[in-house]
Amino acid sequence: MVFALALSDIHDNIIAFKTILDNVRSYDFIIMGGDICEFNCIEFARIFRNLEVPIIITHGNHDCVPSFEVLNKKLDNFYYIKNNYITIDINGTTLNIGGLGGVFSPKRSDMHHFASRDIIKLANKLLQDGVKLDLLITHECAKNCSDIIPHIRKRGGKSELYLLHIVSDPKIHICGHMHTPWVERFRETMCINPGYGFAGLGAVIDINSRKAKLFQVKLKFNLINEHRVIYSYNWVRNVKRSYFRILRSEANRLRLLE
Amino acid sequence: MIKRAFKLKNQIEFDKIDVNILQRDIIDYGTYIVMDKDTLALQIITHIAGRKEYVILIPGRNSFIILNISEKSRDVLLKALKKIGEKIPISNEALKEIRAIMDIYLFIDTFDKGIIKSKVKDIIEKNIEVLSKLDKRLLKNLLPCISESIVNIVLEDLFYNTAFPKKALEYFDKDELKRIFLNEIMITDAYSYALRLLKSHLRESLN
Repeated sequence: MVFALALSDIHDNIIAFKTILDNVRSYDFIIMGGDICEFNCIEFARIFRNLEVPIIITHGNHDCVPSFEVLNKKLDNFYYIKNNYITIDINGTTLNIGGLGGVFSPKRSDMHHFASRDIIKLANKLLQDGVKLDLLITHECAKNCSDIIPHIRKRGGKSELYLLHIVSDPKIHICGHMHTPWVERFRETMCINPGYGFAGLGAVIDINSRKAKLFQVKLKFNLINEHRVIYSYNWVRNVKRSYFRILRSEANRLRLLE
Repeated sequence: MIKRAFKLKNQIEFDKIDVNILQRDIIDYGTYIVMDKDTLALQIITHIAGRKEYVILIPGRNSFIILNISEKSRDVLLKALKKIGEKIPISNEALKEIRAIMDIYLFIDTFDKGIIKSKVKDIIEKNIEVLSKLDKRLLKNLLPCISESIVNIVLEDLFYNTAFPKKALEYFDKDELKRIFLNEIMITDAYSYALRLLKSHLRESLN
């Protein structure tokens, strides 16, 4: 039996991340569906390097992608999948895990967005290599695949991602972005959205039997104050040129970390 | 002026404040304050020749500053910031850092496109003979890369031959300064200028 701890949308909240790790114990590896750390990656890196289990991650639209690239080289247990797939052995079980980071954009393909051509590239790669995926990790959800938008309760996923379902038959698709924890079956795929990690939500998945258990840990911090910090990042995100420079500087600080 | 953001090394933290009280203190400088109630971002605004110029302080664990200023508005905004610093906890160190960032911001603006373009022209003219000897198809495909490389060389040259403001050097190491310099200077114009110039010089070789 292989168990995975699935998390997404932690949004720089180191307290939430620590609390989840302290409370959830039985898992063999960690899967992260994006929006984990943006300006606070150094603190996250300190935790990552002390973990003994593999961490498999793809990025979201609010992640410091350059920092993930540095961590991918620096830490042995950190696997950053950027529009690619990896084959990994966990407790004797070989898993093919594919990842597509960012959110869908009809035109843009940059640090935080993928376009149709990126989906096609990954699909081609999977077809050429003849790989069927055990796990697909994306930040964006596929349509009708655990893609509930909070409050309005409507579906917000993208049907463009169906191509990856058709090509690779993923047994489990883990996504994030929507912040609503949800588990449902879509065609032959089990879709799991671990929910808003910022508020202590997550899921433990039994990879073999394809069963997931959602959880929420109790957090002790001022939620309003923490939200304010996250909202304030929007000021910087709106200054695109400087925003990307600051992210690259963060990665550089990480490079110098002992 | 271009809007630019910087991450502060010194953290700034403050709670909701009565903007009216602060406003009374800084009204003499011709500045006014707007506070965003969701993020507590404090915007200090002034108008120079009808143009809105401002500093936005974003408090939090990761504090940021966003600038859109000119030489004329810098002193006024700094004075207003100092005055505000008496009422809300902005440390002297943070104020010094903001001053250094303002220096860097204004310094970057001194590199106008004219300097970059004239240096691009020099490099192209020096190397045109060698380039014209390349295979036609190879040259066609290489042109965008060559134009980009030429602009990058110019920027590197400018960076290493520039005396940065002393105060800026206290807060930014050389790597950080280089990153700011290479990323914040508007160079898209220079790229297309280099490409145009290369194409016109190499017209014969390309046909």
